Amino acid sequence: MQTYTIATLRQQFIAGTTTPSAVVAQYLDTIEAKDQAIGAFLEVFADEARAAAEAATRAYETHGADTPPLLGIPYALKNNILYQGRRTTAGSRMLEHYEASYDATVVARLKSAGAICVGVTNMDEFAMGSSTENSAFGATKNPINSEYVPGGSSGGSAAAVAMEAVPVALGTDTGGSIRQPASYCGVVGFKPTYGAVSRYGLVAMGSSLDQAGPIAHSVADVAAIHKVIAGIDPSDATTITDETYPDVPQKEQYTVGVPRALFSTGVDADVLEGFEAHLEDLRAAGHMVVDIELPLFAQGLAAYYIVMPAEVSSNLARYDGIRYGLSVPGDTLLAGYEETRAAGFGKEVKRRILLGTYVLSSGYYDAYYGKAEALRVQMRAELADVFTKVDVIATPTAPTPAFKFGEKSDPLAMYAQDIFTVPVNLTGVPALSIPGGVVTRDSAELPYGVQYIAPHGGDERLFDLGHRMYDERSQ
Amino acid sequence: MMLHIMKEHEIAHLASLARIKLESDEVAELQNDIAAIIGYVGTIASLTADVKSTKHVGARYNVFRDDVVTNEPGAYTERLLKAAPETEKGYVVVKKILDTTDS
Repeated sequence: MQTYTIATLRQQFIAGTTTPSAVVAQYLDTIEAKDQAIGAFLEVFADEARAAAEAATRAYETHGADTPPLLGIPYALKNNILYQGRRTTAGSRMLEHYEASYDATVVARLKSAGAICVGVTNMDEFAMGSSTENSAFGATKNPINSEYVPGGSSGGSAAAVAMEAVPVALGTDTGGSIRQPASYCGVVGFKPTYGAVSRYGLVAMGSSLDQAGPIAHSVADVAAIHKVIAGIDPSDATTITDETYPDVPQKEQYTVGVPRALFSTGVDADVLEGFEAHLEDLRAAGHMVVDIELPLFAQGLAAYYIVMPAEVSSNLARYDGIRYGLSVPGDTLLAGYEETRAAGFGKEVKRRILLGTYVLSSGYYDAYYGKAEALRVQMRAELADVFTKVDVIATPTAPTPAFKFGEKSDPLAMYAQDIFTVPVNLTGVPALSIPGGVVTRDSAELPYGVQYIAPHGGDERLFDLGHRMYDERSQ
Repeated sequence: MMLHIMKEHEIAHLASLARIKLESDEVAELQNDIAAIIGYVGTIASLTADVKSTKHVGARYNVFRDDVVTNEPGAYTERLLKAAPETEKGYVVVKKILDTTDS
């Protein structure tokens, strides 16, 4: 299966050198051949995709370039993003049979642009996890090596791209769930500025943290998808416009800040070596690389594992067996709630709901949640100050490459994977993960990613630097 | 990292607040897990920050729209009711909560 980019597909569709029907057929063949072993997809929309591809092929014949910008481009959709009429399970028994009653805004925008949803992908239950091991419907294997996890919670989406089942997939990122699996699977993943992309139609996890974003083989492809899905949405009052934040211009030469103190412990030695090599590449490309201090960044993990469970406990209160989803009867209304939620939620979800309930409860609210929210404000101020001195911040995306199934059974060990990604969600800035290289483990060559972080509204700056440091170098 | 202990009744209380029925083996495991996580995140207590000044995230402004009905009556009713476990004559059926036996 050839690695197509959106640009080459669009070019070839317009020129007629290939057709959406041919391309979708190839991708469906790949899924047929490989997905039994990998398990990236929860459901494949083969018939719908073929029909849509046929219609797109005819449209190109008649109208050529005068067609929507993503016409005929196949994509995979993380299964916590509502696609009307299709089961949107969020990887949970609670929503195993729930059929979405409307399209998420991102789905509606991709539909208008002519993109074809090929299927929905596996994920950690309710987006809680860093390995996709928490899915109620089985694990997804890393396409690079089946003993290793693809990362999470958007593991299915990252795997779908890495295995060449689709050129692009949508994921969601609350604490790193697009960037970390992209890092583990050797592909590009992007979390937009908070508010840049509408959350309407996303199964809510942490409403002040969640963003939907693209995973693809190139920064150019990620930018192309972002352009279509981003933008103010009356259905999501937290969405922003181009005017919300001051301009973040692109530059010939960027100053890249590296918070070196954060890497002194806990980062895999090979990943660190590869990251340092990338910094050399930045210098060789004419950019400045400087050390910066981000003392509050390191506290982000503690704050995240207070704020996120708090928001989770609130967002998942809606699953009560009354209006949709699993419904287990009880003698009383209350018994029905308690039985439904006991049966519908997996272990990690229950853990986080209880944690959130604890930190929001009377007597603990200020000490935990209050402090964590105060830290978020301080972190934003710290970042704003650092961004007066540097244009972009660089870190490894994750402290390690992919790990083996079952290796991180201790919750805290799993949570530690998020150390470089959660401060981004806590503060709302955009971040991009590009492949940095591979490390050798036993006989496996495991990818690791490099993360770039920009100021609020700096999404385009990340696309610029990412394109120059990844796309242009991997041709 | 401080050693934090969660008692069984604390977990039971949280489960009750969260409306989740737990089995006894689940309670025991959660006692350990929650205690360990709280022990870790409790490091936040050492932060010097004014808790009162911070109850927002991000750009802060209200988003309003005109208070008018924008949908056709019944436009979504069938689709939404289809998702409900139990419906009757266009209503979602729920368990009785008011005791109306004695007036």
